[in-house]
Amino acid sequence: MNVNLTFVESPLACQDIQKHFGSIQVLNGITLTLLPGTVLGLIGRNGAGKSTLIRILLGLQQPDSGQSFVLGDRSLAMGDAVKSRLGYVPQQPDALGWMRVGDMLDFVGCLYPRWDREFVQQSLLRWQLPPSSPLSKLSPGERQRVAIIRALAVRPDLLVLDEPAAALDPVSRRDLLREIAVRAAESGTSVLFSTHIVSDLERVASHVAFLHEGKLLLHAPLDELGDTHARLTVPAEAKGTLAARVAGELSRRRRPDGSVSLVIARQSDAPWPLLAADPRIRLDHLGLEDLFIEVAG
Amino acid sequence: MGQQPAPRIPLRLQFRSAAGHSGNLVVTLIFICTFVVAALLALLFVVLAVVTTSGPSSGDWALSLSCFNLVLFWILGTGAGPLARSTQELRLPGPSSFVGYAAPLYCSFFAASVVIPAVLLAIFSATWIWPALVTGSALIGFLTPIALRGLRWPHKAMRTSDARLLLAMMLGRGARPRSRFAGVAVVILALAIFVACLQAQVTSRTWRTVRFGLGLADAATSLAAVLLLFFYHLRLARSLVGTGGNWTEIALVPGMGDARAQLLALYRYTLRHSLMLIMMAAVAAVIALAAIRSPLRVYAYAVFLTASLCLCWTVQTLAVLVNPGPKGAAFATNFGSRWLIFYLFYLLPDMAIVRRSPENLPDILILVFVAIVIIGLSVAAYIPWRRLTALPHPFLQRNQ
Repeated sequence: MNVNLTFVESPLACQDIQKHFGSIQVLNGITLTLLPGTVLGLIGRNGAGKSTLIRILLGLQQPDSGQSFVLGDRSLAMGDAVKSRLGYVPQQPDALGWMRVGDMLDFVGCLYPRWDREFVQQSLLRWQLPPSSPLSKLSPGERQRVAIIRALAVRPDLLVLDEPAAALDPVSRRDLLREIAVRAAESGTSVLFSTHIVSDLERVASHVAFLHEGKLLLHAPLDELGDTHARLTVPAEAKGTLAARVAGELSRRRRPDGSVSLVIARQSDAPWPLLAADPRIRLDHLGLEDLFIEVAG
Repeated sequence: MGQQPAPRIPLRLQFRSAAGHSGNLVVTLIFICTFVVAALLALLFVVLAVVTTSGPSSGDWALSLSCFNLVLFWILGTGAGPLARSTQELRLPGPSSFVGYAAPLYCSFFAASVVIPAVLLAIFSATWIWPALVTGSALIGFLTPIALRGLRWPHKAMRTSDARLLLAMMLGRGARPRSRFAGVAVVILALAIFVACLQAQVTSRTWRTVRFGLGLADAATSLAAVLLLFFYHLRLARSLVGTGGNWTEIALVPGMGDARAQLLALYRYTLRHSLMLIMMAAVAAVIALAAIRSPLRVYAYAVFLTASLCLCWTVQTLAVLVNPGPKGAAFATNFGSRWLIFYLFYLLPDMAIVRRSPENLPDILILVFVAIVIIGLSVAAYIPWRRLTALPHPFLQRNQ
């Protein structure tokens, strides 16, 4: 990752975000930077804090501490110029639900300088969304599609999608992922999207971040994950060699047979810990889904 | 990491820390001041009207209608102002409070502007029963939802559900069964009293009937305008309400960063529709009234009322369209207030016509002249308004 990129220069960044809901700590010291032109998949289990993090990143919710930036502006004081470059799909789009689809898109569209009316028309047709239907009468999937059209029609420099595919059918989901990939590749749009569907993430993400119990456990380029992350399986008889904490350790799980599995990370050019050289200990390179299950399971 | 701007404490927190409380005291003070100002204006109006119409039978009921009408205009012109300002300046915690404080403001306007004129009319006029009953029942209609919620007004306990009750009171739907029943019952009661009073009062002369019809049409269109405005305010507020009182995604649309901006943006959008509705209603009223009776006075009066209503809305729309920031809102609000004064001055010569012979030509000519001027202004204002709505949004021009 480009460590020289400042938070203000990054399309989307936050530093040391803390958030409590009552006595429950939802986010614990999250620092995250989205690189320009990349697609960052934020993955985590239900209730991991993905939506809260996204809302804080966008200034829709105030953190207890820490700060966040969107295209150089502080999220809580975002200007119109930045907003006009931002597309956002919430998990449950519910604003202006009393308007008709066409009216809402017309109303919102005239507030954006780069609004793509042609894209809106084509998308409404392709996804069979009648413009005269009230938003409140649409199914969750249809409302999600309208929200996606609204976000993409902005022709955004930064696209943030909070579990956009959750309510979509497979065809629409494939359409959306293709659209995200095309936007990122052709227009250099920076994309952050949260999901708990690993296969979606593998299709389009260039980077991945794991959020688990309010902490960011991992943030790395997707194609380097196999090289930089691995699982060590330490059998019961070799547990004596296991230190209290192994360098690069992300998670540790005790198995019913007495063995212990560790997920460890290293820099791409660094060696694995010495522990991995022990012939009794097995080292497995994991796919994204296995890695996610090991870390968050 | 680069140089970061100093953290800015949100206005809401500044306000809290400086004043040491959550804002209820200030809002209560706003509420009281609003009530007092509305009451004083209503008092002034009634005193002036009573002074100029010295006889008890010379137009007391017409005065009552006009008074009611005036109240509606007052709300129409200025209702958005305190609403927008209170949300802008105090940044009240959470959009639910936006509704919670807006509804009491409306109620306070209504209470101060209706109850006091009713009492004064009861004192000064011979027919005191019906204005008191009508206004009283209307007041009950507005206050019942609050009473049903346990008299926690104007504190923040009045949330969306309460506002929905208010809305349900007017529309008769969307509320819980108990509230719906109470609301419908109160509205029916108010209508019944109103009709009974009318039957008792309007018996003397034909012109009174015509005058009443005109006034009623005017009141109906004004009422429609107020309902539309209130309805959209509530809808907007509902749009803003997210989980836990946080902003919804609409806050990320350019130009819609806070409650005031969102209110203005939606206000501008919905006015386009509501203005057309009101104009259609007004035209329909004119046609209907022309069919009832056709002396020049009737036409002039009907046209005057229609045009005055349309003009007020058109100018307010223009103000918000041309300058969508706080200046536009302030202008629209001030215009509404000044329209009240204008309306007052219109009412006084109107009262003189009522008192004198209907064939009083100079007065009629004056009315016709004023009506033509106002229609001209309305048309002149309407054309650029149409052009503006067809153009890209003012926000875009500013952004580009």
